Amino acid sequence: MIEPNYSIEEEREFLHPGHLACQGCGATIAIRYVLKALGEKTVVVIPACCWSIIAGLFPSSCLGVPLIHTAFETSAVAATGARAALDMQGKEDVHVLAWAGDGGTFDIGFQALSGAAERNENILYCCYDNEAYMNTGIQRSSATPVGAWTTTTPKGGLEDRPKKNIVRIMAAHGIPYAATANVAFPDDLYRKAKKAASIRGMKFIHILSPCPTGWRIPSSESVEVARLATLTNLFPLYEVENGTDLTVNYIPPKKVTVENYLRPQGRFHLMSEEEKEGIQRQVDAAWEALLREAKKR
Amino acid sequence: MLGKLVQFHSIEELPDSPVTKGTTLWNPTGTWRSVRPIHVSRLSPCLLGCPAGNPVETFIRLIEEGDVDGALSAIHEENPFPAICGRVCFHPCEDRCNRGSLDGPVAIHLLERWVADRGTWKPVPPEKENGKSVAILGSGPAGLTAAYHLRRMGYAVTVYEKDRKLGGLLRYGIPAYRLPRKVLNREIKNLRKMGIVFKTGKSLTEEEFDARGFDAAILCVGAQKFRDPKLVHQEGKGVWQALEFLRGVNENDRVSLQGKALIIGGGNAAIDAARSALRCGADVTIAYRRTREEMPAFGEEVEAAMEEGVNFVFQVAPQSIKRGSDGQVTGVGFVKTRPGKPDETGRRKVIINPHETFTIEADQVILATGEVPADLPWDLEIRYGESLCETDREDVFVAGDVAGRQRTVAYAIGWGKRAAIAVDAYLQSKKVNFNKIAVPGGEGISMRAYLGTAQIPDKPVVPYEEVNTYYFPESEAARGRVLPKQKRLEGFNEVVQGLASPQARNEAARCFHCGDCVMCDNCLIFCPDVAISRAEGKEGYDIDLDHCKGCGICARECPRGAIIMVEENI
Ligand SMILES: Cc1cc2nc3c(=O)[nH]c(=O)nc-3n(C[C@H](O)[C@H](O)[C@H](O)COP(=O)(O)OP(=O)(O)OC[C@H]3O[C@@H](n4cnc5c(N)ncnc54)[C@H](O)[C@@H]3O)c2cc1C
Ligand SMILES: Cc1ncc(C[n+]2csc(CCOP(=O)(O)OP(=O)(O)O)c2C)c(N)n1
Ligand code: SF4
Ligand code: SF4
Ligand code: SF4
Ligand SMILES: [Mg+2]
Repeated sequence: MIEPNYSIEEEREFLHPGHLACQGCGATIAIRYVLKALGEKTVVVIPACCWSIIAGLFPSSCLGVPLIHTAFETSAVAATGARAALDMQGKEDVHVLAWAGDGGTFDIGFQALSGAAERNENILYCCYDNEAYMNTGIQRSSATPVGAWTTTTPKGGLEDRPKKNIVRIMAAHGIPYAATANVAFPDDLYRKAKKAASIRGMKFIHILSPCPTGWRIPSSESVEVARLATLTNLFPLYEVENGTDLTVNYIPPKKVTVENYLRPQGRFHLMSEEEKEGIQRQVDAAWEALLREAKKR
Repeated sequence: MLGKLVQFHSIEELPDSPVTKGTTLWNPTGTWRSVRPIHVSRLSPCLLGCPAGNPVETFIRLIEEGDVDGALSAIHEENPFPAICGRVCFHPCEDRCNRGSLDGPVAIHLLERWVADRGTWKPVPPEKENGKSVAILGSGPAGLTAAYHLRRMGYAVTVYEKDRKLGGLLRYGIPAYRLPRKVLNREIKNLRKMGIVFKTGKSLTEEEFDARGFDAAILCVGAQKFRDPKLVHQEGKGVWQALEFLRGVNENDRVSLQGKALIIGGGNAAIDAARSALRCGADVTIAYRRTREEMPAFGEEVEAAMEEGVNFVFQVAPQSIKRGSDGQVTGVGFVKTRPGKPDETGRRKVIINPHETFTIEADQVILATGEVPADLPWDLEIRYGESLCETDREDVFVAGDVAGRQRTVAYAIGWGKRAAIAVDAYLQSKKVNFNKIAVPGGEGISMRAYLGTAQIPDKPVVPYEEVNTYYFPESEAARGRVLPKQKRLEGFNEVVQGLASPQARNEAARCFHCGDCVMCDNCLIFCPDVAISRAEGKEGYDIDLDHCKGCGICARECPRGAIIMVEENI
């Protein structure tokens, strides 16, 4: 037998089968590795999003840890409250995980999130980013990338505003830890969640989570497409410590053009060649800037 | 596995706050599925490419696991001569290897050679004699392989070889700088230790065969008959047949050759003769009727000859040997040729231009114009049946070069195995379906499948497109170090060196293991429904079909195409 190449030591699963996610949903792979890193002493807070459905109907839950459902815009404050309650009981070793979609994070829950970050609450906030409001039918969010089709972009039109750079915004709060991750790189995701668990204060991980339904891809391709986001440098893996110390965690072995990421996805089918070239230029520039900043460290 | 659904039957049973009472395991999400993943064992292209039927992917996997002896045993199940094949086989397996489409095929022949040189394998007589005896004529790779497999099955085997020494063309054709005699002798000695009886300098007539009570015979007499180009003034000294020249070199290590040697032909024998003549001190030129691209010789060999300083003249046809008044050869008269229309085999005809004549000077001429199958020594005809080894006597079979088709060492080994199976089936009155034990779409045949000790995967070969190359960072294929040119020309020392152990391990790690689950856990890691787990108490994985939604990520992420999705009957 040849040894697997993964360094995920936790063999127990805290995500159970029977959950209600679509076939091939990346958001489930995401929580699987975050919970493996945090362990059974974890409380999860979930606002309105696909995950409120995925978790299952009362009285069943697919998670092997306690879970609090909360209102759409409140995950960071609800997590803050859970933290305070645990601390008052002396349960400081229990982790609090806020688990929200991109709509709940970038848009409607942002005020609560920014407040928690500013107060440096001792929680881990993970945003599983499927780049639109998927649960209610693929409406655009401020995480929707340029060129993507959604059900709420005007007819024939495409998203034309760039995706909000949420990790840099969070890092700008001066919090101890902010990072990107991708379900196609479970080792990296697991390591980052482990690292976050070892840090006191506010931690933020932005996880790219492919959604076959909303991205218009076959379920079998979801991991592959997500991987291409990182291989093309469109979604680099990096972490920022204490607001400024930036480390790039993965450098693709060879150049892959963004076309390879865009082509397989139905949501990008309306893009013109020029628009794709424009994206390539933006990606190249952003990647260079990221490397420069990492070097300055 | 489904879990229990928690249900409340009255208001009283409801908890005060809506708190979870159970998992989602009761929910049979497997019913959403229209396709189901199955871990399967599929054919790897390398297996299809090996005429000797080597279990390529299996032995590479054993190297990776650190089990060199196991790797050697695995090859020995199919092929008694890995040290020889690892050196002289033209490795058609590598032409098929999927890694060739990425960054160069796995150097399978070098790994085979490394295993054979580093591993230990103990030749032992069979546990039980079955009381039957078989005579084999010819000790080339075909005869020796047939002898080996029959002996393993418990037959008393006698090999008759008309030459003084064993090995056929392995000894008298292939020069020592490609196959050191030590290596050849070592692998032949194994057969002796298994209790095979060798009679050298002897043949066996059909009458003797009948009189001595053998139960069957296999004629493996090769294809060493000279194809005579019948040039003017060919008779006389200074003109050699290639095999005759090579035999001289191989018996005496060196034949003194002064001056200019001209070799006529474009096959492997021409190249071997040329490179040997260089080592004997001659200035060597090869003259061939067609273009370089059309040379039947193996490309790497042609390159090595060029590197060593052999001159080539293409598109010339020999007409006559020029001799001086003393009868000494002075040169060869040629005419120019040009390519004509392709014939029915696709090969272009050679058109001779009789008006463009010229002479190439030479002191020695070696005719490497090809060989044809030997006449069968007994009064029989070959009758290809199911095994491709039959003759018109039911107890007499043929194998190797004599039976035509492709003429290489690996083919001879594969064919010797075929004949051994045909003999066993005949003598034990077994019904064999040769289609079942032959590699589908490939060249080889599997002894393990015949004996029932292993199965040939029955699932379609894994094409390159199904290899998930993300998991295989690009890396260069290993190459054997070669002796510097000067050292090579000093004698018949082996030119290509084997791999060092770290190199071999790296090379083995380049193998994708097409179609064979190596338990890398990738499918388990990426399953969004946590439906894949390691099987308990055995190798492999269990798939929880009560919950698997059939998303297909496992099949897509499997680096090696070892999971297929099949439609559910809904
Ligand atoms: C110069 C040369 C170089 C080659 N190099 C390569 C190479 O690098 N790689 C490769 O794959 N292939 C090579 N080949 C081809 C390869 O050697 C043959 O395909 C292979 O040896 C055939 O094996 P065989 O057992 O059928 O016949 P052979 O090897 O020809 O053996 C036949 C044997 O039968 C014996 N015999 C004949 N008649 C009788 C009789 N009546 N009674 C008893 N014994 C008899 C002969 O003496 C001989 O020993 C080369 C061929 C030549 C000529
Ligand atoms: C205040 C409020 N507005 C709207 C909704 C309806 N709603 C539920 S989930 C959802 C979309 C969530 O999108 P996102 O946060 O990106 O998560 P996803 O569904 O994509 O996983 C919306 C709009 C709500 N529950 N509450
Ligand atoms: S809609 Fe997308 S994100 Fe939501 S469950 Fe389905 S696949 Fe997952
Ligand atoms: S990569 Fe390995 S298993 Fe696949 S064809 Fe090549 S040698 Fe065979
Ligand atoms: S992904 Fe790995 S574990 Fe899964 S089938 Fe393929 S080889 Fe086996
Ligand atoms: Mg979303």
